[in-house]
Amino acid sequence: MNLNRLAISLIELNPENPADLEEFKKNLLSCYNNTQGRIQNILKEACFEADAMVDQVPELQRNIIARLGVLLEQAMGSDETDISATTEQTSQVEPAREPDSIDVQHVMLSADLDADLLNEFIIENMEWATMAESAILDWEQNPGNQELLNTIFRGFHTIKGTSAFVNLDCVKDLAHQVESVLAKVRDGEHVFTRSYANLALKSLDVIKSILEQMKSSGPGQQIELPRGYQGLLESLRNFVPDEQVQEMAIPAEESMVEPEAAAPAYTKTNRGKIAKKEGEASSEQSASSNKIREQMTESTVRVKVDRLDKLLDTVGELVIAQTMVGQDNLIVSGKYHELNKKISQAGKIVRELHDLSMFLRMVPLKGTFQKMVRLTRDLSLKHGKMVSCITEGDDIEIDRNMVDMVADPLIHLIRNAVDHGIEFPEERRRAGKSENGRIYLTAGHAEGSIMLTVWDDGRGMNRQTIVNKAIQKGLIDSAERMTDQEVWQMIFLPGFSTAEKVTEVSGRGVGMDVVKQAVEALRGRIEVQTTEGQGCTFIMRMPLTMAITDGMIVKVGSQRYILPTANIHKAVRPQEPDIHTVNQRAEMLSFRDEMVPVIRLYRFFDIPDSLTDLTSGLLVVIGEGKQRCALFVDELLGQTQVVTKLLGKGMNNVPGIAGGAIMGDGTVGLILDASGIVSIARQQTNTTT
Amino acid sequence: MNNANAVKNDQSANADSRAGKYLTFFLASEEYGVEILKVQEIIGRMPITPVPLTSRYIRGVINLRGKIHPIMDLKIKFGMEETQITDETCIIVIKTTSMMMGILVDKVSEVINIASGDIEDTPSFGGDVNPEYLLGVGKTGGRVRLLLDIEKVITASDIINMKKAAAGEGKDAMAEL
Repeated sequence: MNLNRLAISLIELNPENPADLEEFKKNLLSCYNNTQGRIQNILKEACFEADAMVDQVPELQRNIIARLGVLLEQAMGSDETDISATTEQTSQVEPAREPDSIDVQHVMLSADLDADLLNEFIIENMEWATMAESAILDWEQNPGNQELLNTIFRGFHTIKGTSAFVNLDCVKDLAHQVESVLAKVRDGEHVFTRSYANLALKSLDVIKSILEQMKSSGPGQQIELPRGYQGLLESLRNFVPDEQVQEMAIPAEESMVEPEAAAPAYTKTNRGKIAKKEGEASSEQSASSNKIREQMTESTVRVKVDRLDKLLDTVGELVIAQTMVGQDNLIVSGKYHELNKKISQAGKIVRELHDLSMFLRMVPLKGTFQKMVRLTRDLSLKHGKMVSCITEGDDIEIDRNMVDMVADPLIHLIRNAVDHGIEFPEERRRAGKSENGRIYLTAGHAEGSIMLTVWDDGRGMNRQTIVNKAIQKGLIDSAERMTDQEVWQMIFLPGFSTAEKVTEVSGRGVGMDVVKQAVEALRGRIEVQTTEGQGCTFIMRMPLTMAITDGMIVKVGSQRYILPTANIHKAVRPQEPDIHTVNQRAEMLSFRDEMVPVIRLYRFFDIPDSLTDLTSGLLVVIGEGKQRCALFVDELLGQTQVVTKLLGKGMNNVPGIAGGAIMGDGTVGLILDASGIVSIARQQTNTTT
Repeated sequence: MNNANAVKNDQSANADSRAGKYLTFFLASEEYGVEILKVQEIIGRMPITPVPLTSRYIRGVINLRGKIHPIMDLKIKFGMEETQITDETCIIVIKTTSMMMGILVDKVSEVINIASGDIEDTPSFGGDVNPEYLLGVGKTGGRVRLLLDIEKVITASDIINMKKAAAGEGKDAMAEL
């Protein structure tokens, strides 16, 4: 008797019949004797529960059955020896068999395959796998949607077909098994349950990991099968839908009604009906979805990244060349009206071309958002919470290079929201909220930049807890004069993240400084808004692309530098009283009641021909908090948008320089690295004093 | 006989790697050569943007068709006077397997073929001159050309010069006192 059978017998159990109950207890005990470790502990608890059930009134008995369901669920979950947490419900128990799956297996890629072909295969199947994953996640929300099921089928079917073509049996078998399991749902033989989704998602993970490995090897080389591959294949072969257990364990009240209704004998007809209805609808739906698929293939072309980059470089050059023509003395003199007209016409086209080429780099956020939905799903299952992630604006496009960088802070925020933000179902019920926690992930355009928000309706942050922790950590002395916003901002301080206890009590603060750093690396800013008991919102703003930097051109002596606008707080022409000296050596500027150290850029960069009198030049205030300082420059020459480039090998770590850019006149301008300058200036003052 | 042949083969194999076409140029009055296969192109003088906190021999960076390349002043590198930019000043863009860099030279001379027989090993000079940068000495048409191992010259790693920055700052601070 394995756990699965036991779970099913629990569903069929009629508590009013003492013989049934005895039978169940006996099975439970035999299960208990056959297991060990954590599972045994859980089953032991289940035995106690079952013992207690015998003399109870029917309502209490139903409660106990529900609890037993939860316990069995746990037992089955912890029985999983696989690495991934997504498969908690998929395993086919019988613990003795599990250790086999740990053996690492190798598969030889066929040597007579063309490397290009193999590459093509990997890329294509990755796409199919991603598409199927997204469809599975949607399907879970609307199990009745036949079109989604068809998409999933198409995904697995294509993977199966192409894998057979390249003799990749391990993937082919897996895809085939998933297909046959899902076919039962499609044909109305079984009703959808979460365990199908779990199994299919796990299979996709394995397929993807095999594909990932293939990327780094070639024809005729060995690849390692992911751990748990055999176990997964096994559970697919022996798959017994455990829907009753599922439905009972997850929404607790529903289980009161479900056991009778979901008993196999009764529901068969129901399912048949549903399936029939869906079948009618599906014929036209599948036709339309085929059409969509065709459109998709027609409208995209795969281009090699280096070709794209070369094109973008060339267009950038064209823009500069065009500007140089436009600024030529002959043109500026204004004597040749006709020529001027032609050149400005050409200029318009060049600019349009430039804008278009920038769009080529953009990709939608859809893939990233989908990962977050999956993450939410897996995490909430793991924590026994009910959380759904709702996304909006996944068609918003950002720079290809930024996509991966955006994912990191998002993962952190989602993880925090599920771990600490969203409460357990009972707690939510007590607080008068819906048991189902929600996380909204939205993207949108705002003021020329992109705005990402992560909003959860969890417990929010507690001002007092944060203040206490900050005082304890020595970050502040007292919070009396701090606004709420200032208090929330403290969670982003580096010292704050180590506070593990705070995460338990207030629910927030794990590695938030990491999130902030990641957002700042994208030249963005992050804000937090929260209402205790109602949730937390994180708002991130970042530029659409990292390729273009908005900057101010500053002049120091005969040199010009570009200072990124995002770093600049204010530029002031200082008056004598604003400047204070320390030991006649270090200088400070009083700026909004704050003393800001002055860094003379010409001294830092050793430029001989610049202004030296502070009151005749400009002080540009840059940096945040303790990093804030005032850079002394001769003057601001204007605003510019530049494309950041590397300075060439060996030159990329020049302190204080973030990179180079081609200026309008074709020369190279250097982009200043504000934080680099501040930290070096600090070191130097330390060594010279 | 056998022995002599072996020696000859040995020599020619050794010399073969150095024989070939060289682009020659002047640094002050001395004529140098670099292997033509390492030369990407020769460009006339163009505005060079100085990069702070780098070694003196890095004159700065230039824009070459949208890519930024560092420029090395070979004369400073070899301990001579700084190159004065004139109409004849050229930048030779060197391309090695790992990097691209421009070298500033006073005047480009010619492309010549140097046979293995015309190449002599670098004599040891002692003192300041670093023979590591030289492949050998080429003698054709009565002229001596110093053949550079350009890869060794430009891959020297001490480009960033933090000491200079620190010293500059310190000096100024002291002056103000």
